[in-house]
Amino acid sequence: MAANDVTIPVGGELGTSASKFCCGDTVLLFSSVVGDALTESMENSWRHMNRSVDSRWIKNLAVFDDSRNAWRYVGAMTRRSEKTDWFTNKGLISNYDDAFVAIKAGLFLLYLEMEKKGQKLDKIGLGFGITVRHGENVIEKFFAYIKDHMVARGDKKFLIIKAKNVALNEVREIEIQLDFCVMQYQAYGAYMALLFSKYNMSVHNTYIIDIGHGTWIKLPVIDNEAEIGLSDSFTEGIHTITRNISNVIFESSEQKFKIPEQRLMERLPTKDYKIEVPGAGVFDFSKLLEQQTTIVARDIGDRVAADMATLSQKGQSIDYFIIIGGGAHLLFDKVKKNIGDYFGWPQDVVDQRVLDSASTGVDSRHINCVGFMLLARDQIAMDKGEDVQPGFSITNIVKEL
Amino acid sequence: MEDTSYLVIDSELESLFLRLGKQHPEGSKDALKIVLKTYLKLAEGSRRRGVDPILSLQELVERITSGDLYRTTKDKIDHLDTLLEKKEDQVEHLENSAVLEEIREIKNTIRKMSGTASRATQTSGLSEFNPSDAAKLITVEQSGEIKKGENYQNLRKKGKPHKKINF
Repeated sequence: MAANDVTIPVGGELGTSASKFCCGDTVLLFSSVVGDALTESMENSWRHMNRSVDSRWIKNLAVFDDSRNAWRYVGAMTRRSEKTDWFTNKGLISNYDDAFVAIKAGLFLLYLEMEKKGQKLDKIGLGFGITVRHGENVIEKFFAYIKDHMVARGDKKFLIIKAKNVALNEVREIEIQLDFCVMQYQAYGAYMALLFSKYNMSVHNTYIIDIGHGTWIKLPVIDNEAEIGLSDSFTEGIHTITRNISNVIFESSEQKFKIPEQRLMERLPTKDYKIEVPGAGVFDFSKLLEQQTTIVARDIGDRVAADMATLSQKGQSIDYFIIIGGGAHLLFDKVKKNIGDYFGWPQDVVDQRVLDSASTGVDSRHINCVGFMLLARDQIAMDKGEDVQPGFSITNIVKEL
Repeated sequence: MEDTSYLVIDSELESLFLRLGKQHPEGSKDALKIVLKTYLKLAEGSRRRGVDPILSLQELVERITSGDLYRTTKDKIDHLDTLLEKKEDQVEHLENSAVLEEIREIKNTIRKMSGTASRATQTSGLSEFNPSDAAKLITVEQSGEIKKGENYQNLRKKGKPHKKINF
């Protein structure tokens, strides 16, 4: 059997802040933004002036956009773009051309990573996360768009991806056969990851809370199926918290100083809650952060409680809750407490039933994407009439910065 | 400045309201209006007497959903007395007309509901519900033990397939 007859499972999702792609032990993340390229002469000038020693493809990526017949910068490289567009707006795909560029970028970067390991990514099955608000029809249209932009050879369809490392001025063109795409709601990826690890392939009713940059999503999975009626996404996330804090600093400095939200956001993972307001001193926003996270956690808790009441009326219950996403580190403890308080569980029961992504061995930002790779793996096994192999290990995480 | 009142509805109260809607489909809107109105008016008095206003409201809704706003004439008199007590500090003619308005509204609502209540009771099968024991709370299982679920490898073979697009 030729090597390219083997379908490799790949997971992917376009998040509001970062897009993630996963294959084997590798996850890669890049900012969900695409931008216009500099002119050739400007790009040359930039190359001469560029003093960065980081010349990796993920940091300096341009993808050729056939619909515009032009290069588009992707992720970190868009800092040089005059005009940028986010792949998604409030969790929804904004523009098919841009989203297609994102998928090409993700697959191209994965191809390079696999190549480094001596593995081929010639033929793939894609597990893809969609938002509840999109609905299946919108995504079907999007994949019909992708189909139209693929090259057919016999009964096979290929994605031709032309990419450029702007820093090195190196262009590569690859082709990947896209066999199929399976879709599920974004947070369902976390359920798959739990199923294949902690649950040891036993089905458990699970309530997923995915707190992202701009939105948070709730998705109950009952008897292995997403409970769409109770699933929703809300435009509240880390961004809401940092925006509110930024506004308070602005108001309390008598509208003299505006601290960019990005600067606040950068401090959150390191728990550095002090920021210098130029000319006004150091501002400690830990109390504000505490207030803001309490408000968001309470909102999440209220919605979870309402869903529990609805589920109980149907005679259904939840075995496990999992809190994931880029905002999980900020809100996990509070949301966990709210859930525990709602049920009146003792601490040991709360610890057992309210999980973070550590229980799967994957970072809370990547867990959905890993789950979509497992979804694709499952589909490949199903097509062959075989059992799907559980187990996964993510050891290689590739980021822009 | 006018006082602001907030009504927080928990899941139990929500289910009470749902019952209200089911059992009195015709009068539910009016009944809900009068319940909320009465609640807001009684809230301060309840607080003054050290009674939780939410409990007062729950009791009121319970009474309506059981098809009997006032279980006894004394209940009715007590309620109207409370309304009168609320108005004691106000100008007399305003007080009387306001209270009379309350009484009229309540009477109308009860009259409207009396037609639907008996019908609802018959259809809902509540008439057959004759508990002999005292009410008691169910003991909730608090252990962290979770039953092992069905094996996914088997389930996936008989379940709905994933949404798939072939290229």
